[in-house]
Amino acid sequence: MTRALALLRRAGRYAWDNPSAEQDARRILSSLRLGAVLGLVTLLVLVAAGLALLWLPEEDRVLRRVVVEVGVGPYLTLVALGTLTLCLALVVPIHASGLLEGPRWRGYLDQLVTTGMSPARYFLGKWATSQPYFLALIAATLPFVALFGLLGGLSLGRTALSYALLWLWANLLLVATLGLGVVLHEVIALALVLLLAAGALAVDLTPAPSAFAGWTPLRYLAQPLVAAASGTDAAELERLYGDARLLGATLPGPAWSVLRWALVGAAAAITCLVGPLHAFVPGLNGFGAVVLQGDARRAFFRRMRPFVTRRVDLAFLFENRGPRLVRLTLPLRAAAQLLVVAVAAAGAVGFVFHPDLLRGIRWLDPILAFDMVGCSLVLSLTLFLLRGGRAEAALAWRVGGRDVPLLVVDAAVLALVCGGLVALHTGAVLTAWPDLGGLVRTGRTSGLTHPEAFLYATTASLDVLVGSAVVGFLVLKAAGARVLGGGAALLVTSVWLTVQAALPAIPYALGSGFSRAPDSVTRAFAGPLLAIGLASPAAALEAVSDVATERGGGGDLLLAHWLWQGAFAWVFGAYAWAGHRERRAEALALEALRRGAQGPHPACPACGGPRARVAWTWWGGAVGTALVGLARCLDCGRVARAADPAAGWTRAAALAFAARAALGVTLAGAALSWALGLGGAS
Amino acid sequence: MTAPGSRAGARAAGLLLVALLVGDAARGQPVDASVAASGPALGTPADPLARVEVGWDGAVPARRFPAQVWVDLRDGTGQDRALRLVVRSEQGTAERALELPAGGQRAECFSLAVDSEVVVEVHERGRLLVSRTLPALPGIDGRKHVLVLDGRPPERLLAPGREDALLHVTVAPAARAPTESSCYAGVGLVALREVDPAGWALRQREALLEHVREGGTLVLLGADARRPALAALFDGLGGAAVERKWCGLPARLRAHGRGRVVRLEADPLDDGGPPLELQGRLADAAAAVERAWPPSSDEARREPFEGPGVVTQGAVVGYLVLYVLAVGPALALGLRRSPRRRLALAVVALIGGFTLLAPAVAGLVRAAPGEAQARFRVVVPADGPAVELGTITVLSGGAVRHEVTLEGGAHAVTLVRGRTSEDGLWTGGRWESNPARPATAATERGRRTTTAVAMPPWGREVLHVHALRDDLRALELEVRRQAGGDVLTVRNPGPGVVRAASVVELGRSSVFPPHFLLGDLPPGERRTLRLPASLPVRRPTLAERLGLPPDMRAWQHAPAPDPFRQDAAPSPYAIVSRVEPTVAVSGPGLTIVVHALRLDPVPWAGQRSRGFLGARLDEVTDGGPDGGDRRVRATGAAQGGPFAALGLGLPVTIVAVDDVPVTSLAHLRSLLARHLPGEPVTLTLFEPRMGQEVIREVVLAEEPGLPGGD
Repeated sequence: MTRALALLRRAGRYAWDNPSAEQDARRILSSLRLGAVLGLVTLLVLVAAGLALLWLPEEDRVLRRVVVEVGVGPYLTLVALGTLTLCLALVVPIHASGLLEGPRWRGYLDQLVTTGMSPARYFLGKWATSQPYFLALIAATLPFVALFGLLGGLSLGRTALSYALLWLWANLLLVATLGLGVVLHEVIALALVLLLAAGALAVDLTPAPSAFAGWTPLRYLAQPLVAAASGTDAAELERLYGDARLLGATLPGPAWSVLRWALVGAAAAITCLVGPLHAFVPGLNGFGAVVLQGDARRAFFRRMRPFVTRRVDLAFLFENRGPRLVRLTLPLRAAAQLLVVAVAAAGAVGFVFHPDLLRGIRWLDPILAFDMVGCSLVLSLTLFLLRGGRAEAALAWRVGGRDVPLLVVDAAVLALVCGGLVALHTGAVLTAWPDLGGLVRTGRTSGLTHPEAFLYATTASLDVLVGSAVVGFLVLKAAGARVLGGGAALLVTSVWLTVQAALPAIPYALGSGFSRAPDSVTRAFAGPLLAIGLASPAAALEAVSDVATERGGGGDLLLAHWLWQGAFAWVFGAYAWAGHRERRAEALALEALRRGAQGPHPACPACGGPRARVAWTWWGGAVGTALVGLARCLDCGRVARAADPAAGWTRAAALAFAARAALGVTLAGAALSWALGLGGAS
Repeated sequence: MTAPGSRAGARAAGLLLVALLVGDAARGQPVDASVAASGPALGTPADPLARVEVGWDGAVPARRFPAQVWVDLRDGTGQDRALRLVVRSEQGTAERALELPAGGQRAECFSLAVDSEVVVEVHERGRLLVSRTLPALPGIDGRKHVLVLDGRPPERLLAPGREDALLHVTVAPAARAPTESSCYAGVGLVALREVDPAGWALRQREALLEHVREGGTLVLLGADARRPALAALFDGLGGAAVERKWCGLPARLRAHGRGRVVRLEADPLDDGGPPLELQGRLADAAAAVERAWPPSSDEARREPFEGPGVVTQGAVVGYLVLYVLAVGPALALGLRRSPRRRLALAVVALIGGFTLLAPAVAGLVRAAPGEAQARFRVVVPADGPAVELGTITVLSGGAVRHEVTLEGGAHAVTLVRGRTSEDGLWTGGRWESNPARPATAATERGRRTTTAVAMPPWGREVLHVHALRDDLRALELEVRRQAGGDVLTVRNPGPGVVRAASVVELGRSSVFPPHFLLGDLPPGERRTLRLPASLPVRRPTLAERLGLPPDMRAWQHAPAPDPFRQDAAPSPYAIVSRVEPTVAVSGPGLTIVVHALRLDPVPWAGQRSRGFLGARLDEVTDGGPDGGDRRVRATGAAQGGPFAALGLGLPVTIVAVDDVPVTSLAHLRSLLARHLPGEPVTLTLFEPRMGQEVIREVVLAEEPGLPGGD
């Protein structure tokens, strides 16, 4: 016990002994600021309660019925704690932001970096000083809640749990703002957190299922009033606002909320520990070489420094995270990504497959559409999280003496997400099977009527989305590894996905029309047009719909889509893999040079610079280039044989190109001959 | 201003009159219902039909429900006719061949969505005789609608010029009066015109009077000696009638429940009615009526609460404001130079201190009931079985509980608190909204009752006071348990005839609709009713009371939620009185206690029962997400019922009844409701297993549990 207390005391000292804690303690916990904030919050609560009471006396209002049924206590308590929830949603993100930008604007982040203080300690200080602040804010409503609760209708346990949820929610807001502030600019992070909090508050007030909602304490606070306010639909709404239902399991609403807050908070905390994904260009990995020189060159923009060198500043700050965290950066980042995506996926599936919503539907197609929108958002979120640029492409995770490149780690994350999504989704459909079968009992005869058809449609559509996500991921990595940063790579990927979905839809529509033409000549064009069009996932989803609703055709068309996806995956996968190999090879060559060791290849015959392996060329692709065996000088850019720089490689390149062209023509011919028969399948 | 003597103008002004009296119905709103369009004259060479009338049936006038298009045909040639009736709408085209005997008249009805324009055509031997277009019928919004139930022959329905009257008026033939009071939920005023209520089913009259009891207005137009049925309806309500001008017209007003019934000797819609230069004075007249009603009594007075509540209010506000000031500006300025530890202690002390003070303030609020009491002396008129005497308004001064003391003198008095209900429409399968039943408190004769009123601080609570006449309450009740179900014996010891009483409360259960009817009960006579075998505490569904197996529980309204919740208080329009001393309980374990009667002053004119098919029905929709064609399926059959006797495999689709295509479940019910028990009905059924339609004749039975029908 004594030891535990001592450990706790040490932890407290550790957290409080840093500049961020010192500054917060002076600024935020001063009497003026604390009095202003507490006075403002309590005044807002008082005004809200007064307005709520003034609003009551009119007849025919839902609120009046609520008060008559449950009493004035819960109603006023909801108003007081709901107002506090809103205040926290506004105050906490503002309070949390500025932890990184403040020192940068004021010019003392360099000093923080040179002290060698770990970012964990820096962020922990902010968290520690925030706790008394949060407690003061939350406890300031105690007299209100005590008075309202004593008017009747609210139990002590519920009040205590409400306060606990409010404190946890304030911490979630804090950690989320800090985490997003690390990844994005803090101004953007602040705006994003405010936006997300507003959305979460709105969702919690709507009758969205608790599996999806419950991101704020408002859902729990409003729960006792829902049944009274909802009249005939009371039972159904109580279930929607009450426990979370997912995969046939039922979790109490607050427990489910806290679990998700914990997962998202953990992901944000990991981000605060390891920082944004970053890597130094070899040779430019010294603080003095980069920051000071960069500032000297950009003296004019010194005041604009936050917009010029933020990534570099943060990179040096997070270089202080310690060797253990450096080693675990990639797996920790992957874990954080998986946590965020898992929470999003569970919420989306829990919303779409909520039993009460399924029982209320008369038509399965909207469920399919909602399902696909939810899965698309989850996959898009995954791609967003996996973005990375050229510098980061050289990163690797050292496991058991072997380097696992970033591409493999990210691919594993994507595979886990896709596999998990399919599994979660299939489980949800099977769990909801009895509810999906309701339409069969009502005898509907057109559209998606049977659960079997729905299962096929939703699974096959999800497969199409997963395929597109995989290709999009390869595009993202290929672009990121070459010349672009993470944001630009994401933009390229978005453009690719849009073009891939939209452009082929034109020949697909033409092909569909031609296939119904009376003359055989026109119909002959239908197959190739359909084959081209099926590069689009939109066309593939149409084919899935045809199969599901038994309108005929569809099977061969889906095969064409998968052939396209395979071709895309092959091309972009090879390109991405080669790009990452080249970046890694360059980093290793420069690192060897820095250590004065011999590089993996002989020095450049022209300039004597270090050389790194070339993994992809236009004429040989990945395989042909590897067979020829080339390396590029990192100084002058000259390409020569890797082992023997003096040897020629023109003939070998021509042979590789000829083989590549022959293979391409053969495959194209085979695909064309197969596509000509597609006209009858549409 | 409407020109005197102008026929169309007089009609328009008359409708404007009734519309304005229910509020702001006439604020530039378009006409809701189209009315009949007259065909060409009798016997013209161009059109040998004497008359074709088409129109909407406004009985269920809501957009989301199908309404009925009715077509009345009359021959003017004196020859037998073979006609083809074509009705076209967005939903499709319906054709019907029919025979019109020489000089005969025939009415046809089609069920269609009300938001669809409809074209009705009459063909004879391939030649188009008449074409009529009915505009779409919008639904009713709010309680601003006027429904005129017109009992005149079809050719006397109002001319098309009525659409210009800028009213929310729906005109429906009197015979199509709804049988559910909830169908009047969107209607503020119902006007009866040349209607003979004696020809209605009892449920139709009940629906109308429930509309009034819930606060609606009923206007009887032209209730003079020529229309004795209307006069009988008015006089049968009991209570004191007040002579006064009603919007400039001589009228008699009578309170009934929370609404009123107005009898106008003149019919402003009649051609020969008085000059109607009323529009400029309508609003004033309506306001005057509102002020004057209900009639004031010298002995009734209101005592709104004041005084101590203000102290409570001040204490609460002062406590909260003081806390805000202390924890805000006082903290900020008072501890400017204090160390951080002292600041933290001050915050904790302020919050903790005020929190500890909260119980004292809350106790002050909760102690307020002793400070707020109302005394209300009730005077019951000598005539009239049930009357609303007025309202008590309780103004809270911060307290959340008040006590109201009722003293009825020699009469039993009921206090009704809260809104009557928030009924939606009855859709044929479920209630659309939850009827919130109000709380009631009742006094016994010669006693004083104190009832607690829970309400929010600074709120206002309106309490309605009802009273019951003594002589009508003196019914003797006896319940005996028998093998086939309990038997309720009711005896009227007199004096006076009890008219159309019905049991609405059994134990804690509301019986709705009131199936157990007494009918006319002269003094000294007794009547025996058979009750269900057992009643659980929860209000059972009809299926449960009939003892049907669980899969038949969807018989009537399931899976709709029970409109009357388990803990619901008694109905406000059920006059609750304590009659336990007159109930004789016999047999072991008997749980039924009849403790309430509903005394309905509707003139009794015999029972009409609805035919009973004995099939569990559900509605299936084919088509897109926006709806589609609806089919009605029978998925179960009551053992021993008429449908089970057909011996068909289930489920089967009911395609038509008496060759009338069934378009919805509500439509099927309306078709069956036209038949009495014992009447044969021809059903066209589609049996999926055989893949073909079959036609069967079935003899309808009497609905179980409804002695003598409903």
